[in-house]
Amino acid sequence: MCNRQQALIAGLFWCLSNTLPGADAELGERLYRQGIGVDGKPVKAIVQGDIEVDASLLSCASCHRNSGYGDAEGGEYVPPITAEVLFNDYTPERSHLFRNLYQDIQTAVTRASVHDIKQRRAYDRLSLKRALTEGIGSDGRTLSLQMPRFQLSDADIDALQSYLETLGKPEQGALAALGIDAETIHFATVFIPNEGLNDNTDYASKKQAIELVFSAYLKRKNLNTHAAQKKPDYSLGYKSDFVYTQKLWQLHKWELQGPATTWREQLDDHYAKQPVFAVLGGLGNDWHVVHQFCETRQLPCLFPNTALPVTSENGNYALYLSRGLSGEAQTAAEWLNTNDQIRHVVQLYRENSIGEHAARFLEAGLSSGDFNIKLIRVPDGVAANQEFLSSRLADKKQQAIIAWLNREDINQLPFYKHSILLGSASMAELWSHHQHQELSEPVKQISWIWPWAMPQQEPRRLYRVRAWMRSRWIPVVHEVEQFNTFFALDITDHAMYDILDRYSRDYFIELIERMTENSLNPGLYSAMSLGPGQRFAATHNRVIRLDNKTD
Amino acid sequence: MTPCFTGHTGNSLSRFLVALICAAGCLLQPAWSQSSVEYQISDISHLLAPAFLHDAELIESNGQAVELQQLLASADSQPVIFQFIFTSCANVCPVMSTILQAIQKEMADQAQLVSISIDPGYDTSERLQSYAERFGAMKHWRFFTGDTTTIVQLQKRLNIYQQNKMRHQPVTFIAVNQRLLRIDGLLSRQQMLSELGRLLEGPVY
Repeated sequence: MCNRQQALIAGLFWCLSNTLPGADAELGERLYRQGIGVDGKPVKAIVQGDIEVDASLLSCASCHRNSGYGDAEGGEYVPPITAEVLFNDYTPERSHLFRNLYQDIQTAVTRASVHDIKQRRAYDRLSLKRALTEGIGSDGRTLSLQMPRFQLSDADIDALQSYLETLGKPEQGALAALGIDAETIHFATVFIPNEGLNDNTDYASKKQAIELVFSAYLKRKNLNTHAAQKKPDYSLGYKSDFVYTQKLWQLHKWELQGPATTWREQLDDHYAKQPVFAVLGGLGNDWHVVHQFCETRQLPCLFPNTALPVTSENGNYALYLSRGLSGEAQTAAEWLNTNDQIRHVVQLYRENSIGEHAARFLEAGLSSGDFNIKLIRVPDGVAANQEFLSSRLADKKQQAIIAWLNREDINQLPFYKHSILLGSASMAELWSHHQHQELSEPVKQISWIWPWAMPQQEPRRLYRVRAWMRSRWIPVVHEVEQFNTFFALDITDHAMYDILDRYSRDYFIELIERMTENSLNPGLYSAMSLGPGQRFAATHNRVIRLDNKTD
Repeated sequence: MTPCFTGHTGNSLSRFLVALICAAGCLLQPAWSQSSVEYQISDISHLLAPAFLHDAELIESNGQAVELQQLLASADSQPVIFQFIFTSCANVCPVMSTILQAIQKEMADQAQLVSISIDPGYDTSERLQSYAERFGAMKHWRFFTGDTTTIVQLQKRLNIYQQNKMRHQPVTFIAVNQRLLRIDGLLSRQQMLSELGRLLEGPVY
């Protein structure tokens, strides 16, 4: 046996004997995500050469992210460390370059780091240990000093290696379970009718308007994909190398029926029939069941049109446009708390899930203040007019009336100057400038909780999105819901360009987090932004008057 | 590491001298070396001109409104070291904050440390307080947020504004004795302390 063969066998034996069989990948995952060692204590590390830190502040996942596909935050390029990348030789291939060059805007420093093509051997246990503890790569290079040098035990390294060997895209056979076929990527959207409410006509009309946007977007998307696939060598750029990753998009409409207790089962049934990669947009008041479904299945669910998102912030996979009514109630509470003159708060609300939830949110928000709170419920079929209110509403001083009503109620509402604050989440159509031109002058003097961009100061993309719809003959009848749907589709489109064939839902979520603040805001909100762990894109509510005056 | 000349050098004395120079070079580790930290310092004291930075009202994590002018006023007697971060930032901000964490003990009674959120919509007082706790911030390390417009304007004036917060750069500012320095990059603890030492000694930059 020649020396080379002997060395190989010895090396193999060494590797086998040094990797603990059955090392716990779950403990490795905890170490990767939280920086907690196998012994249950936070791992210590040195960063920037001489700064001692707990790895709980700088875990592997904080830079390389949960997906392992890395990041480019702050111009610092953090390379991917998925199993496929780490445990294979890394050779200078232009396909590697393309994968690392995000479509997302990059700083000059990031671009330079990415273009610094590296070549290295696959990591094994020994080189992994060296990288983690001494900061020396398998090519002998010193890794960035921003990468902590961890103080790890052998058991820590075994556990981490076991986890890293599983990190990354699923095996080919598992793709179908993620909603990805050879030629198609499946998405779904969820519609929840407003059972028992008198605004189901509105629901039907909104659903139809949303469907038109989906249909137009997918038609264009799939035409482009067909065109690219027909001429795979159409460009000399890198994109042509990745035409094979482009798939046709198919949308499944999941319309839930009956009482909320049956929704989860319906969603599970839909998913069993056809798994999807993500749920995009959607329409419904109460989103709790869908939220739980998405979190349990680790299924990204992006930007539904709902006034009642889950605001407990425990979610990883459900992303929302705003905090909806909960956010508006918080704004109302802050407004009331800063106004020393107000001691009496009257909540006037419609007897429906929107009104009742909003009133409850605000009551909870005011619990720490010294307010007399009175609740006036407006039953279904009864108008909130002078006649209804006069007997119930004393004209007290130091009083604020907070109204959570329907669009139809507004013009009937008797005018109480300086004292009414209306929530608008349930009146999305009012955001549009031409709509509030039609309001009567007294109504314009009411203060509104305004989650949207200020009238006539909307981000300019609004005009492009409007033009996109008009040029496709889509009647823009429910602008808010239609624009939000467009946003969910558009940002997914951008993220899928970066994903290529790295079908990781975690990576998808991380890309959305990073891209939301780019110029994709369709113009409804003054600003949209997400970040690691952030789940509500638009956070800023104002209190405004539609006549542009202040009290 | 510093590239060392390894060609034929004639006699043993010259070989010894070259080796000595190489060893010295390797020990000194210049800025471009892979194993040292790169950063860039610029003097931007002209930005301290009245009314350019001073009219920004910040909200401290305890809810109190504080004028930036007030904060910078203490720079007459001791340095004010400030950074812009956001609490959900996963990659750059924790490293920026660990630098302040690493020097805060030495800087007690000697400097004010300030972290200002660039994500006021998300970074509430509670989130800032919890971030401060994670880094074991002492009393002289204060955390601020503010009105979105104010925060954006302040970043623009300091030329650090990025349209997407996920692209924000690691920058540290030091104000002292009517001077304002900008440090681009992430420093080691020793580098930060020695830069502070040099700054307090006199106008070096």
